[in-house]
Amino acid sequence: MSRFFAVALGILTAIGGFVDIGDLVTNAQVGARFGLSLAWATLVGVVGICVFAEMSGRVAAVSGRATFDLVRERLGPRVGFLNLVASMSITFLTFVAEIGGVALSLQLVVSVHELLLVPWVGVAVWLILWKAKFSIMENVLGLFGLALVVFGVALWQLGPDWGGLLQQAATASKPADEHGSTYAYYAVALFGAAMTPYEVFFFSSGGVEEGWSTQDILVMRANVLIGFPLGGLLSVAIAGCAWLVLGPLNISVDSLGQVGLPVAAALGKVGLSVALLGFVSATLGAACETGLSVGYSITQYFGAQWGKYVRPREAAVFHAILLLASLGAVATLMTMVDPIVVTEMSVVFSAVALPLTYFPILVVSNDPDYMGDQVNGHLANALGSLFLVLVCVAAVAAIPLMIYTRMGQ
Amino acid sequence: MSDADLDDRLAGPLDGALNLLDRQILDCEGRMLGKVDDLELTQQEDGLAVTAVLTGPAALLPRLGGDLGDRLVTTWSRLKVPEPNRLRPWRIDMDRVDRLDSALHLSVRREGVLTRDTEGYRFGTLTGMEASGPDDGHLGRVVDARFEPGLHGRLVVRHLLIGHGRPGSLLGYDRHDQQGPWLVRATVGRLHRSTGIVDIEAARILWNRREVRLTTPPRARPGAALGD
Amino acid sequence: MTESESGSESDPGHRMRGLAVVAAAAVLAAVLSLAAVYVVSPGGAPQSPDHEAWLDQAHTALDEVSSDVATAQLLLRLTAQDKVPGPYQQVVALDSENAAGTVASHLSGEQPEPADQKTYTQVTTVLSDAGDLLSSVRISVVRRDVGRYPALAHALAKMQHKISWAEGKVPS
Repeated sequence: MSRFFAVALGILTAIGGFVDIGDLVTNAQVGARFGLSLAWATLVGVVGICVFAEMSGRVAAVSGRATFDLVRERLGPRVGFLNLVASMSITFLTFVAEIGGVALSLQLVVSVHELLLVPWVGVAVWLILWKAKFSIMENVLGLFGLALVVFGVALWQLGPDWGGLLQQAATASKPADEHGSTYAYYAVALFGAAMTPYEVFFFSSGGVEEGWSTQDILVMRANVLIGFPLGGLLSVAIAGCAWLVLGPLNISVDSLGQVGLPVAAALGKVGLSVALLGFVSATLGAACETGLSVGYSITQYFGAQWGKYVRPREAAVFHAILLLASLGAVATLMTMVDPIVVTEMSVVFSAVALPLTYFPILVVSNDPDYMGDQVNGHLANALGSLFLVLVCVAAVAAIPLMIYTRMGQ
Repeated sequence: MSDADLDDRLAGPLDGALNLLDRQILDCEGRMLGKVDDLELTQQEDGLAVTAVLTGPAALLPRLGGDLGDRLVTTWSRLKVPEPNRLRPWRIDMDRVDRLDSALHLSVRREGVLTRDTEGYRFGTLTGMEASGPDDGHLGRVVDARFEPGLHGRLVVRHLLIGHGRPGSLLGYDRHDQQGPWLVRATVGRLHRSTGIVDIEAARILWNRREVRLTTPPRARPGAALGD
Repeated sequence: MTESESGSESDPGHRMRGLAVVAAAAVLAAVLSLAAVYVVSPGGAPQSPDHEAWLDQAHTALDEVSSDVATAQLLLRLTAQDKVPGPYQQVVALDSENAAGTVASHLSGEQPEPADQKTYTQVTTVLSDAGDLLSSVRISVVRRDVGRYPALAHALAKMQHKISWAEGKVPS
């Protein structure tokens, strides 16, 4: 019975932890302008993250080693170093966006200027990363993130033409007043928002933190293959709500407050308060994950002791990096840069960084030296290779599309 | 963790760059202390033997290779000019190594385990060396070396892998014939179709000139070192 | 993966390669920062746009301010139905006002060609009026001056008409 609860907890945490500030903003933006005609991009992204998260979780469970640890072994120190610099920069950019997201969410609750909140959020994140137990951090923030289910409820309450919505999603019918290039740009952005590069590094490191072994593979697969798709459904619900309420008014989303208005329209103050709880939890959870990922990638490259599963004094370099990263993120946000703009950029650059992170995982999860008989089967390899091609295409297309469409205008 | 299923690799033949370099080092209590940034090779009676594991920036930076590596090494040496032997890497003698599976395990605790009193040849220098044949023709580079246990239990170089491409870029796809996914295996196979293997007796290593002179050309593609 | 090591190259060759790398990095950095400026700044290129570019910017600016006005309309409607908590209302009202203000000031900072002068005046006037109206909305929302909401809603609807009118004046 307790095993059932453990599995259920894992799945619920995975659902609640799936959405971050990138998903919130991008799905709302896309929903308001394109409705569900880009839902296929989210779907493809969700399948992709499932495939690679399962691989990286399996690597951690079988070999007891986290993925970035193995990136240097497989690719060598030079390519591994370039990989480190690139993926760490993107992860840090995402970290800045997430902390900004927490500040924006709290601003909506207490109506204090975002800049006044940023330092406190930075301190809170650093304290959680330093002191809180890993599993408690994951479970608490993941479960509270489930509050975002209110978007699904709101979508239901708005009483849409379900047939029309499904048709829009299935036929990917771009609205007539939007350009094809903007459509393509947002497809790439949604892809990058769903397939966040840090997720696989975090997931495998988290597996080592929690001491996974081969017995945990089944539970891990349940979390990934049930939790992530349901989390992806939340993303689509956010887009649907934006389409139904913001779309007819020609409102384009450029602030977090606009993302929640459809929930207010459908469910009033109570619904909106639940949504705010979801915003804060999801962004705070993602801030912790990205902060840890910055620490994981640097320490795992150099082989230094990492992890929250040891006492901070045993992993001094790791915690020093976390502190510096938190300070750096707060400093970046105090330059008054708009966190929404940072989010938009992090999502696009995530798409660019995807091949760097996914290629090593595909190689490592096929290596019998690490995996024994748990190497990739034919399905995992087929999907993995397909997505490798897809992420390369998205990576190459991302920056030209960003420049050509001026970030989707 | 399934480490217990994997045998101690130090007892058998293995490939240096593939199986030993860049491995995580764990002490006897499972705590991390760095990576195998390089290997110290010493000429002994039975051949070129691995005498220590090298770790730290002085060992890692030269392996980054090319202009970047050279510049970083220079910067590193200038960061603390008063320090003697700044470019000498930290070493862990092979006596303190217990076993090798997916990581390198030491038999001692990590506190104070690093020493820096001697310096020898480095494996990282050997890989990447230009290899020329009997007629001075350019045959490629040393991509890896195959080690086997020698007279005193130490790993000794028995073969050199020569090919076109950087060390480690075979990604292990020459080890197992059926290693997937097909797309990656096919690409690596094409890039490395001319990789060959040569006995160490047929090679003359010129450390100062960073060159290897072969008396016989390399023979066909190498098979698996870990004989699965 | 098949780059060659430079270990035994002669020194001048070494230095040339190094210079080339630094030059390439500098060019790349310059291109990226120009691209970032172009991408991130609303309306795109700085200062003295040509006819086409200015029309483009004007259209974008009107679209964005129209979105801000529509957000304020939605906010007032939901507030009248008591569906939005106080702090949330304030933040949304303030965000719309700030966004519209930024767009308006950016566009009026541009230097249009003489032929576009008339359109420039019309558009910037409308944008400025919209900004003022959104300020009034924000002030009323912060004061919870519920009595003024119907009048403001009416004024916002009229402002949308004005913006559409201005859109029509800008040839596309």
